[in-house]
Amino acid sequence: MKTSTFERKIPMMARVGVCLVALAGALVLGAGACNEAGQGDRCNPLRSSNECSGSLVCAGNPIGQSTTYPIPFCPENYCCPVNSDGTVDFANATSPYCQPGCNGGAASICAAMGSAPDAEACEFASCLADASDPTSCVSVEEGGTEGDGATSDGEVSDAESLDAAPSDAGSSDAAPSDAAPSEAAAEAATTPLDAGTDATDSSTD
Amino acid sequence: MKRSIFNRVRCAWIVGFASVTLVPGVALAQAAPPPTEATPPPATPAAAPPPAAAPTPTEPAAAAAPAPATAPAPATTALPFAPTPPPATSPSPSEGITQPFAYGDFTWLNGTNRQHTALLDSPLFTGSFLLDVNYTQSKNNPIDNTVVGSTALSRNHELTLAFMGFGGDFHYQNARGRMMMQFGLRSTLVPRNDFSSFRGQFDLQDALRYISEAYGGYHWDVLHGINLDGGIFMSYVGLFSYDNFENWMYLPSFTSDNTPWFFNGFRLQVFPSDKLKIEPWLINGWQTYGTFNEMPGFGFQILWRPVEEFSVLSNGYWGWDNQDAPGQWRFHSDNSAELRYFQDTSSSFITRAAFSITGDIGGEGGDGVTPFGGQSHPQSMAGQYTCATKKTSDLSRPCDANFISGMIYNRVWFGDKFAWNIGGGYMHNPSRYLILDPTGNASPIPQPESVSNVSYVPASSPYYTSFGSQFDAWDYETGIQYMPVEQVTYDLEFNHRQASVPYFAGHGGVTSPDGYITTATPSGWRPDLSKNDTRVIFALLVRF
Repeated sequence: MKTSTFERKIPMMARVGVCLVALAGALVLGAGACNEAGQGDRCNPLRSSNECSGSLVCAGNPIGQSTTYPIPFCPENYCCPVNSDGTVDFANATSPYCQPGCNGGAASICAAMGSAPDAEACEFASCLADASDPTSCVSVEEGGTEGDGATSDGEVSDAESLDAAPSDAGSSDAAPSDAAPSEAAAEAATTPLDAGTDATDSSTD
Repeated sequence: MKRSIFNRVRCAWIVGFASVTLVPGVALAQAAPPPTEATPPPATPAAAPPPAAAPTPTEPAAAAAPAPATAPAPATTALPFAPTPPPATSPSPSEGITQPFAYGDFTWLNGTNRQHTALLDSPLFTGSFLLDVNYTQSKNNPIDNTVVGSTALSRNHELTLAFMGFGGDFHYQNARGRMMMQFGLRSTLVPRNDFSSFRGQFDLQDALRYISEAYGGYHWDVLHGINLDGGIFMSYVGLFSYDNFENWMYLPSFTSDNTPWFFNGFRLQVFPSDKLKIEPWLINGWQTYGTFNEMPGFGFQILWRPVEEFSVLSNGYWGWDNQDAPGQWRFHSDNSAELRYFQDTSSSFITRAAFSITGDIGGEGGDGVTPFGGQSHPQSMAGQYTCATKKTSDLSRPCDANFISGMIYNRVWFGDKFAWNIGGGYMHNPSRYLILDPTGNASPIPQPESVSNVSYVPASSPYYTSFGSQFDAWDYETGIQYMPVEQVTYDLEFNHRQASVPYFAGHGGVTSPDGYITTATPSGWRPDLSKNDTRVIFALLVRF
């Protein structure tokens, strides 16, 4: 009675190959589950846990866990650093996606509204596009000051505009929430912006 | 004036088609001694191991091949349920007519069935069953588990039934037919790239997506065989086979992934000798179910195997494949060579080694584009159009639209059961007319509804495919295959792809903030596209 696979005289190379395949498969499965996102990487704001690495948080469009980390005029969500008070640290963020407008987000919001564009998003995007110095766009956001946590009504208004209406494609419990954005938006307005256009291919051509 | 030109051209292709159909008739009247033919031999069905799903260019004759000296089992091997073959009506090779490509063992070729025996053979029907299950993990790990830019892979970090096909070849006397159903992800992955199906009614994609091959035809015993088939048949533009069981690697380079897998129309296979096949096509278009404009597409394949160790494959195409652009033509030339540069079947280590090399060149012209010498960018930095697009009527500044690509692969066999492959390639495609469009919210083509009646989110940020837009990409890959028996292959690969512009699915995916199509996308939400994609692939391939 054969009790071992090896008693069937499977060639050594076959055994090694099978072992390698099995090992590689296990490594792949394990690696896939352990991947963490770095600064400027996309994140899932509706996930039950934070998938960003280290002290980064999932910021941007204020839905799910990003409700407390909004980025003005940002329709997506990115892993970004936070200040000690829990607001997005625009000043020290190195990724353009962790800045107000999140690297083309304002223009995308502006373009998405069609015949009824979001005036504030369009104004902000226009400023970024025309400005030789992105910091000059700060004037778009009234009352912003350099530093942590400064805010004004204006920023709240801008941030609320991020709470964009869902598309016509349906809705779910995961639709953007109505939660008020944090005061971090104020800080956003005072931060130099990187208006790079690498977010989508359309913007790079 | 323009209309009259088109009428004349239309007449020309009708005449051409009539010629194609009449020529075999004339040949039949001349009634040369009947040789056996390419794919399923009509006269000696059980005597051959027909290449089931893969009427590979490499196989039309290998189907009826007698056992080569190297390895193939004799074609007449007694099988458990293989009926006794009927008396052959064809003359034996000894009478001077040999079956095409039957003189050697071509199972080593990339894109060719490596099996030597058809298990499901009978006098009238040779059955075939294919199964393709894969798992892939991208370093980007997209949250919507979606793969962008491949026709082999579709879902990330999931066990995926990519392809399950069944069918086979019918053969009776000189009549022949083949049908191959397809289920699994590929039944949506491949048809979605066909924009011609959006012309008119009756939902061509749904009607035909579950058919990978369906054609019928007739065989004439002329020269070394002539076949005329009509229906949907496989393309071998780009060398690799649609059936991954036949390929050296699971995920092919761009040259293969971005060129057609099938054609819909007629093909005429002519075998002037046992080493050469000439195969003209009259088809609806470039991997299309329908036709874009007034004209069909024309193409050809030439397969030449002067010796067992060497094979040359060349495909050509001319057609009109753009919506509302009847004056915009496309040409494409695809050329491959394969060489088995080492073989020692008695060796206990390396038994065989071979490589394949492929080069493609193509382009589009007319109606605002030109293959070469046009403008490279549709817009200047100031947003002004610098070459013709659909948004400008100035055709005096055509955009560049061409396709230049290449790929090379090397395979080393260790015994009969293991093989190691390495290869890579590149693609240059300004105007992006052959790239596989991203899907989801990045899709520039309409998205179907899901089966659960949930509409896909209309694309919020369609991928930019205007004339003149740039696209360059390259890739490299390596992998091993374990083939315990002729019917099963285990494949493990590492693959890296890089593009000059964001194209592949990034971690944010292309669907919605959390990756589900049922989740609303905020206004202005952009798909996450990345310039690179690094992944591992594991696949199980079964074929009977």
